[in-house]
Order: sequence, then structure tokens, then C-alpha cells
Amino acid sequence: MNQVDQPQMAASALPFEFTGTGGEFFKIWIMNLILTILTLGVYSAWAKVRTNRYFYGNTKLSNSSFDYHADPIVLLKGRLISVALLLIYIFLGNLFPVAGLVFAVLLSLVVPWVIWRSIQFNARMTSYRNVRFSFDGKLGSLYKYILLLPFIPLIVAVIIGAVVGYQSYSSGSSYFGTAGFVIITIGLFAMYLMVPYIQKAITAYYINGHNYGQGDLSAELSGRKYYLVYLSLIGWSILIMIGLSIAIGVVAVLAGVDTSPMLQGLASAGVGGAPDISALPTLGTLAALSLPFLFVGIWFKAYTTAKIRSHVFANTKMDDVIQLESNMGVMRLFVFYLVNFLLMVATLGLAYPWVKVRIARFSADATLAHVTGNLDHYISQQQNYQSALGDEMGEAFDVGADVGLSF
Amino acid sequence: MIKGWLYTENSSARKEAELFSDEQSFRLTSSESEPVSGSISELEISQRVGNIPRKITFPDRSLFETAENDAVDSLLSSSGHKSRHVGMLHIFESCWQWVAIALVATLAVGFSTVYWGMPYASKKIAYSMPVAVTAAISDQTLALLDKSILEESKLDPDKQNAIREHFKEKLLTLQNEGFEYELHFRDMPKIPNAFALPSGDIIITDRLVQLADSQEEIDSVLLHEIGHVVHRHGLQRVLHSSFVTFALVLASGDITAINSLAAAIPIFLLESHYSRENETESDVYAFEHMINAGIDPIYFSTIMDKMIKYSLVEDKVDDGNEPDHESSSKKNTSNEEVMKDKADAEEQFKYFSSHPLSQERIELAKKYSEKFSRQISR
Repeated sequence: MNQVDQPQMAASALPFEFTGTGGEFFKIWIMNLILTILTLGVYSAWAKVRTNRYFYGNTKLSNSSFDYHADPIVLLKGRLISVALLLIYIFLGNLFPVAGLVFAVLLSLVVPWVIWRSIQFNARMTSYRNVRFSFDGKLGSLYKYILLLPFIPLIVAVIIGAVVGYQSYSSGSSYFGTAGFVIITIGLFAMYLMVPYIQKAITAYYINGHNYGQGDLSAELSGRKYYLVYLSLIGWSILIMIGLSIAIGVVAVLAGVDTSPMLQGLASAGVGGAPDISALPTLGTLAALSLPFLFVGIWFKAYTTAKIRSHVFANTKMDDVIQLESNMGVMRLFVFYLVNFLLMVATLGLAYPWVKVRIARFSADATLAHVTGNLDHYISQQQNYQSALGDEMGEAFDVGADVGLSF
Repeated sequence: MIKGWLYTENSSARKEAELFSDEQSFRLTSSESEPVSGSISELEISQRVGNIPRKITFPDRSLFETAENDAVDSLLSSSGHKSRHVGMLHIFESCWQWVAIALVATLAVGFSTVYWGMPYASKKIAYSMPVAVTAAISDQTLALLDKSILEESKLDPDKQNAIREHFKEKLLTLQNEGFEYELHFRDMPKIPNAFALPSGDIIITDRLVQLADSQEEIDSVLLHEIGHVVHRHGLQRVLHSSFVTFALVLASGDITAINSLAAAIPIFLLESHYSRENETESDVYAFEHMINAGIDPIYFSTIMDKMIKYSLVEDKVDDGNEPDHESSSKKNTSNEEVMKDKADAEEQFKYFSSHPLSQERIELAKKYSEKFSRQISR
């Protein structure tokens, strides 16, 4: 029963499902929390495994769930090392700023390796239908994307800036340094211009490195699409800012509020010594004033997430058999984020388990797998590819590092 | 009988299967292969989490997956399987009474750790550190500040020396903690301020010296800063913020929590709270030592008053000309309303501020001043 036998079989769309509930996870979460507290943090590794098993086990495709297999003891070792490093960093940073900075630089040299191990570990610990995922992305590429590419514009700019600055200095020009300064500023700006490209490169690297059994996941992403998303975001933000200023102006005129002392107050806030806040508006106006910006911020996040997710998923497939699709609408995502935010604020964080479940369900509901041919048949062919390579992993650094890949 | 799916080792090909059991033994039948049987104690059974599918691994590494969690639980308990106790967690998790207890306990432990435990631990650790260690902490800090916000003092060197001499002879003789104090004069344009580093380096800005009309007012400020050093507030704050950050990372299980706004607000509120307590502690230290040195604590309230008025004038003058203190302070004392606005604004921002309400500090100074007068008259 292969595709040659059934050429007429069209692609069928299978939905992802999430079957957990907030109440159920709340109970797991609170038990995890109290046990973590009572064991001074040691239990957190077990808590992590239970939490992941709950979420993986409730995420279903074609009536089969995913599973998480990490051994808490292995996680614990990685955690102890991370905690030690974190403590050193916090203390150094606070006590000896210079030493803290040196430590942070040294630490950042290991970060790509840690993320790489973490992706590898998490892939390896994830299974679907008794077959595990694996990750074979190259470590070197990750160093390139995280530590090299982002800084290239700055390095180039500093070199050019230094040369130009030196030349104008030796020629006795009074513009000493100005040109160099401008070039370095442009370099800094160019760093921001690199962000969409790097985000695209890392996402593609992440997906392309993954395998399911012998099945190969692949993504062909377009940098142009990423830049378009961010460009239109800039367009939208200009429109929104104009709209907001008009709205605030109109409201202020209608209410007869003089906004100038307010702005002055904002400008002078934060001066040390005696509190200098006489000109600050009341808390109420301040909150009312910042609320629109909060909405705009949430909307930006919804816009970029929805657009980029749909581009990534539309171009992600596994062996010409499975093709993903994301159908997250920007407005729906915006309302969703807003409700989550309000839930967290209103319950002082106690709604965290419900929010986590809501996110899992929302993401699953917005994801489809288009299958060409027969999924069961395709999956049945997958064998554990990694088991031939041996199971030893060394310590697992599961840092939960956010590489900008929160789907 | 438990219904489920059977997978052979490392394969995702599955077939329907049924697991039968009596007390100690099981029998597995599936549509396509020979039945397997054996002792239940040989099975590896996954822990129950909510209602996610259960996995049972057989000695030949093949795997049986089922959604019938309750049936697996009863199989575990009736057979006396070695993993039967790992189900305890699920029992706790599925019973609302236990959950309620856990919730209350978590809130109580969390609250007391944050509210009492961390400040207490910070204090204990800070005090148990040798003075030499505390001093080493701020080694680089003054140099950093000099490069960023501080400028060279423009005060008359004779005046500087006079204040320094007075500081050494009158104020430092009151101390016996082993700190090595040094007074530095610096300028922060238009800002009257003084602060202390844990090492005992005390920095006072030109504007503050200019605002003070008497040596006693400067003394009161310097004693307040010495109070910060003696009580090791710098180190306490560092320790405390480290604890808070660390606890947040643990609680949310996510290192990126450090950066999120949701985490930043409670950290900020907490630290402002303890900062206010520290200020009061230093105020009290200053008042008590002023009384010992025969200085009326009322001078603290007069310099505070001048600083408040100065900040009001500063708002109006904005930039350019140096404000003329004599005339402007007169102008402002008549302007009661402005003062009241300022007090109102401070009141609203009470919980965000690193310093206690100026009015409260002035009141406290007055209280100590009364105590001082009583002692003098006695």
C-alpha cells in the first residue's frame, strides 16, 4: 500500500489537538511547586518532567500523543551546573561589575554550545508513536548565527570608522572623529537590520536539523518574507502612533487636561537624590496613558508571531508526506494574548496553569498537518534512527533557552 | 482486560492489543502475533500524569500503550508491583483537599520567604562578611561612577578640607566598626545628593554642600550615609536582589523570566520596600549619633526641607541660570499649594519610591529633636 498503488489519494488535513485542561494542570502545577519548595529546588527536575509529560502527552495528532522521556536525574545535573553559573553571574554582576562583565562574555562563548546540546537533548527525549525525534544540526552553524553574524556590521563599521577617523585626524581636519562616529552609528543600526535574517536562519537551522525516525524535516524559508513582515509592522506602527496621538490630544482637549506638566514630569523622573516627582501626573492618568502602548505592544507581538508562524509552517514538511499549516489570525491572537495578560494580572500569577493550557490548546488548534498518502503507513516505516548511534548523551543542559522559537 | 496499542522495539508500526491480568501474571494478545505472558513484576509501568496515555514496557522492550489509566492503576495495586507507590503523586493531584493544602502552603511559604526569609538571610550574610570583603565590593564602583555620572568637584579646596577635617575628627570618632571611611567631593550638575559605597567611601555633591547653611546640616547627611555603611545596606541589597531573581527563575522554571515585565514589577516593588526600610534605619542611626555628638537632629529636617524646595525650584528654572536660593525659597514658602501638590504626588508613588516620604522623615527628625532637647534640659 504505497503511493504508486493509490495515485488518486489527495492530501488530507489532520488537525493537532490538545486535550489537557486548566484545572487538571493546576493540580499538577501546585504539587510541583510545593514539592520544589520543600526540597529547596531539587524536585524541580522531576517537576519539569511531569509538566512536559503532561503537555506532550495531551498533544495529539491522528489520535496518537507525543511523549517526553527525560530522566529527572540527568536534568538535575544540568540544572545544578546552570544554577551554579547563574548564582556566580548574579553575584559577580552585582558585586564586581567588571568581573561580572568578563564572566558574562566568557559565558556567552559557551551559550551556543549549551543551546545546541539542549535542542539535541529535547529532540531525543521527544517521541511520537514510540519513535523518537533527533537533531543533527551542526554546532558551527549555531556559533555563526549567534556569535558571528549579528556582530559583523558592527565589526566592519568599527574598522571603517577607525580608519576614517584616523585619516581625518592625521590630515588635521576639524571633523576629527565625527565621520567615524557616524559610521559606527550606522553599524549599530545595521545590527538591527540583521535581526530578521538571523531569526530566519536560526529557525530554518532548527527545523532542518530535526528528524523523526528516518524521516527528515525540512523548511525552506524566505528572508524576504521576514523583512516584509517587519516592514509592514513599521508601517502599521507609524499609523498607530499617529492615530494614538490624535486620540490622546482629542481626549485631553475634551477633558481639559493640560498634558505639558505631565510630559515634563516624565522627562525629569528618575533623577537621584530627593524624590523629584512633583510634576508627575496621578497614577490613574499615567496608567490610562500607558494602556494604549501596552495594547500596541501586545498587538505587535501578535502580528509578528502570527505572520511568521504561518510562513514557517507553510514551508515546513517532512519527506514530501507531511506539510504543516498554521492558521493563526492576527486579531484572534491579539485577543488571546490580551486575555492571558489580564488573567495573569488579575490573579497575581495564579492563573499561570490555565494560561499555559490555553496556549497549548490555542497553538494546537491553529495547526494542521496536510498528509499526502497514508500517515499510518508512513509512520509505520519509521524506525528509531538514533538508537543505532547509541544513547549516551552526557549531561543534559536543558536551559529552556528561548531561541525565538515559541510555536 | 485493558485495551491498547502494541509497538515492537524502536518501531512505530502498531497493532491493536489486549492485556489480561490476574493477581501476579499477565497475558498479552494481539491481532497479528502470538500471545505473550509473564509476571507482572517484570513490567515497567510509566507514572501517571493526569490522563495522558500510559506506557507499559515488556522485558523484550516492546511497548503497550493505553488510555485506560484507572485500569492500569488497579493492576498496579492488586499485583503489589514495585512501582505502585509512584502513583501517590497522582492521588495527591486528584484530590482537591490536598491541592488546597498545597496551595495554602505554597502561598504561605512563598510569602514568608519573600517577606521575612530573604531580608533576614541577606542581613545575616551581610553582617557575617568580614569588613575587608565588604570593602572590596565597591573597589571599582567609584571609578565607574567617575567615568559616567560624576564630575570633579568645583568647591573651594579649603572648604573641602575643612569639611573633611571635621568629618574625621567629629564624626569618625563615633565609629568603631572597623570600616575605613573616606569623604569624596564630586559634582552632579544641579543635583544635591550624597551616597555611600559599602567600602566606606562617602560621596557628597557640590550642590548639597552649597544648599547646607551650617556644618550640622552636612553632619546629619554624612551620618545618614555612615548609617548605610554600618548597616551594610549595599551588600544587603545585592544579596536580596540576587535571592529574588533566583527565586523567580526557580518558580517559573525559565531563565528568560528575568527579562519579562511581569517579573520586573514585583522585583522593583520589593526592592523599593526594603530600600525604604534601609533609609529609615540609616535616618535613625544618624539621629541617635547626632544626639550622642551633641547635634540637634532637627538639622536633618532643615536640610531635607531645603532639598525638597530646591527640587521644586529646579523644575521651574529648568536650565541656564543658577537658581538664586535666597529669593526662590522665599517665593516657594509662600506657595503652600505647590508643596501640597508635591506631598500628594509623593503619597501616590509611595510604593514605587526608593525613599520614604520626605514628610515622614522630617517628622521622625523632629521627634528625635524633642528627645534631644529633653536630654539637654535634664
